[in-house]
Amino acid sequence: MRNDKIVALLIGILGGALLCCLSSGLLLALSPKAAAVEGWAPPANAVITADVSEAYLNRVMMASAADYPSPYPVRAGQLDVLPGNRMAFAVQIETPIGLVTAKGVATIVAREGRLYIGIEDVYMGPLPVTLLMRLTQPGLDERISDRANTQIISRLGQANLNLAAVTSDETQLHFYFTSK
Amino acid sequence: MAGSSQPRVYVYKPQPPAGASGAARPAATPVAGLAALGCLGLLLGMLLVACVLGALVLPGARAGLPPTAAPDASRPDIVITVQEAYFQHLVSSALPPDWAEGISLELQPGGLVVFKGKIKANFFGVAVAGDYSATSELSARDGHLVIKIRPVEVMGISLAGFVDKFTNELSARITEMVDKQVQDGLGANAYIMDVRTDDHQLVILARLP
Repeated sequence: MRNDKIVALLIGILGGALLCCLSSGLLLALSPKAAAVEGWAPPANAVITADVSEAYLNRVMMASAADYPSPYPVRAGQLDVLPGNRMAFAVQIETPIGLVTAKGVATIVAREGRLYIGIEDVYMGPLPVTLLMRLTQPGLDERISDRANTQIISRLGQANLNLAAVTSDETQLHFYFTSK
Repeated sequence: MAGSSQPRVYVYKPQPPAGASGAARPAATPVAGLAALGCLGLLLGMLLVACVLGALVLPGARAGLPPTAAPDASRPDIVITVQEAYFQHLVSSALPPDWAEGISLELQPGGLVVFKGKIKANFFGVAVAGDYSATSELSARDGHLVIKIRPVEVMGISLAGFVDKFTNELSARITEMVDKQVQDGLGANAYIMDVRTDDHQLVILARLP
C-alpha cells in the first residue's frame, strides 16, 4: 500500500520531468532560425541615399522601447549593425525574476516601398526563446515594422519619393530612395 | 459414561462478504488517491526540471549587455546624399515659373552650385531677358545650412549691385526650399554639421536629436 503511493509519486515525477524536457526540446527544435537576407543591392536609380549610423539607431531603438507597451519593459539595450541587412541586438528586460538579457538578430528589408523588420534567433542565456517570444508577443515584427514605416513616411513629407532598398555594412544602414 | 459421549456437530458458517456485515475492513488505496499523487509527482517533476533549466539559463540570462564604444559626437548620425538631377528637380519646382526658363544647375566641388537659365526679370522698369548664371555657396553654420549667392551674370555681364533684389530673392527661395526639405527629412531639431558637394551629388551630414 505504501509502495503504491511511492510508485505513483515517482511515476508522476518522472512523467513531469519527461514532459518538461520534451516541451523544452520541442521549443528548441521549433525555434526559427534567421533566414539569410539576399539580393538587396542598391538600386542604380536612387536619387537620395540616407546613411544612418549605429549610434542613432541605438537611440531610436531605446526611445521606441520606452514607448512600447509591454508587461516586461525594456530597461536597456543596444544594436550592432552587421553586413547583410542584419542587426544584432541585446536588451535587458525587467521580469518578475529580475533583469534578464535577451539577445537576437533583427533582419531589415525594403519591399514595395515598405520596410519589413523581423526578429529572429532570440536567446535568453543559452536558451532559444524565439518561439516563446512569438507565442507571448504575437505580431511583434509587424508592430515594429509599422513604427519604422510611420517614421519614414513622416520624414519623407511631401517629397515624391519611394523607399527602394536597404543595405547595411559594419556600422550603418543605407536607405535608398527613388523618385515615384 | 455412554451418555456423555455425544457426537460433535460442526456447523459451517460462511464468512459474510467484505463490507456486508458493516465491519471495518482494512482500507485498500483508492485509485483516486494514487492519481492525485501521480499528478503531484507530475508537478514536482516539472518544477524540478524547470529549476534545473533555470539554474542553467539564469546566469547567462542575467549577464549584462556587452560593452560598447562611447558615442563620438564628431560623427554624424545621418548622411544624406542627393543626386544632382534630383536636386535640380527640387530647385526648379521651388522657383516661380515666370522667373526663369530652362533652369539647370551644376554641382561643383567645394560646396558650389552653379545655376544657369534664361532670366525674365524687370529691373527699374526695364524688362531683361537673356542667359544668366549664378553661383551659390552651400555651407553649414551653427547647425544650419547657409546658402550664399554670388553675383549674377546675365549674358556674360556681371550684374553685381544692379540686381541685388533678384539675387536676394533667388537666395531666399533656394534657402527656403533646402531648409524645408532638410526639416521634412531630418526633423526641425536636426543639427547640420557639414555640407559637401562633388561633381554629381550634394552631401549633408547631420546630427539628430
